[in-house]
Amino acid sequence: MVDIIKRNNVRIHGDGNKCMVMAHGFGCDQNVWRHLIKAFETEYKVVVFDYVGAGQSDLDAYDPKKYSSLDGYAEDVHEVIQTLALKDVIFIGHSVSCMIGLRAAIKYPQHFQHIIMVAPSPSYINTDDYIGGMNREDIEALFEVMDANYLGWSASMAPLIMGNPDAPELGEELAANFCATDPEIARQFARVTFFSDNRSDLQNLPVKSLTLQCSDDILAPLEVGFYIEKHTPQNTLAILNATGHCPHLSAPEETIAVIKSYLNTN
Amino acid sequence: MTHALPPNYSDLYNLSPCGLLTLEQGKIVHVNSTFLSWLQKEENDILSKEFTDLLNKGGKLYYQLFVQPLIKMHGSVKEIDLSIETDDSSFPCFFSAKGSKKPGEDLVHCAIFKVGDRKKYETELLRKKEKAEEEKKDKVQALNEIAFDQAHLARAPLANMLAIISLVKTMDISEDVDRLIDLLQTSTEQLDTQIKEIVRKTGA
Repeated sequence: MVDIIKRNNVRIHGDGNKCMVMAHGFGCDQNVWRHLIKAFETEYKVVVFDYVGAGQSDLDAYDPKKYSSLDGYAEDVHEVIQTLALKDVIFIGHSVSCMIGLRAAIKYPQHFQHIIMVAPSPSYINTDDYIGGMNREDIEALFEVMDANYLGWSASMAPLIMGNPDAPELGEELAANFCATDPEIARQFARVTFFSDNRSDLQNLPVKSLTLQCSDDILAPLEVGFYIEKHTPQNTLAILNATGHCPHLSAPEETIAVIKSYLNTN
Repeated sequence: MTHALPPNYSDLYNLSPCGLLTLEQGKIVHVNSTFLSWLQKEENDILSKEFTDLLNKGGKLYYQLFVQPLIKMHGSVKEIDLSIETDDSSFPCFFSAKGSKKPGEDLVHCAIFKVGDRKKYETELLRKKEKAEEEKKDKVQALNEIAFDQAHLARAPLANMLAIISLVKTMDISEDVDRLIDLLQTSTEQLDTQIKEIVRKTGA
């Protein structure tokens, strides 16, 4: 029997009756949610986790075949929800996790109440009639920079134990390894992320959803937010003043306020 | 802790051997002369521009996905390998940065080291590493091929020997000779097994 809690390094904050599951994006781990956890843990049970291959997850559980599509990750989200027997989940995903949550909610709608998408994109690559923001060459260029920055990576970095994320005295070594992951896994996750096309799934989302669209995000330009709003039933689009791709880190107050206001009215 | 500034602080800042930049919400608000000279630009050309505008598309994406979250989460990054675009070319650099700890401030102080030579050395090392791996692969393959071929060549005379041994055993021979032939047969069969094993291993 697979230990899901250990495999995905599942952590629970707060013990409210209502429940949130927060899923990090490509390149990071559950620590990106620290501001949102603080804001919601008094009212909600907040569940965070690391995808297999990221953060403190069990690297041995990485199966290149299973994780060759977003569905492998969506299954893991469902398994986390099932293991903890969570009901009426408010799922908050960042970046690629939005589409992972969307796929999980389409397949297992009984568990989900809302899908909240932070900087989502159903497809990153431009086509004749769709603006995703990037061309294939841009993504290959990103992979090159990633490879150049993996020179110093070694397998011995992986099993460092992450302490309390609120502690200000996180060691330099730990800081340097934040978001560090096995380069082979990162490469595959990057390919799965950036070459996935989930546009045709949007129409099938059976629950209400919120899109948090940043005003200047090269990974998800404004057009993407409008596209999602147009093609997803019961979707609310909120355009943030925040720029960049990580508003939950760069503009946590605005991000939290928008999510709270959406949840109060929906 | 803040130390007393050296009297020639302005020189230290402007003529420092590395590029120095301060970003406010991602936009350049201070830049030193060293960095401007590398870009061959005037201060006014780049003040209030986004720092990521100086990067190629891969670098821009990398900055958004990895560098910015790291600065936000841990207050600093170091030795990030990026390429700075100039008007007519580009140069590789190591990028290190520290975020301001003051509340309400979104300042990032950056140091940029031009690493053209280091990068060439790195590329050379990588090329050599790839070449060594390639050579090792070729060597192992060549050895396997030789072992495979030689083993096959050795099996033909062995097959003859085994056939002759069977033939001799049907002849009218003394008990002593028969025992010796049995020993010869056992040894020949063992040799045959060993060679089959070599074929199996190298032929995989």
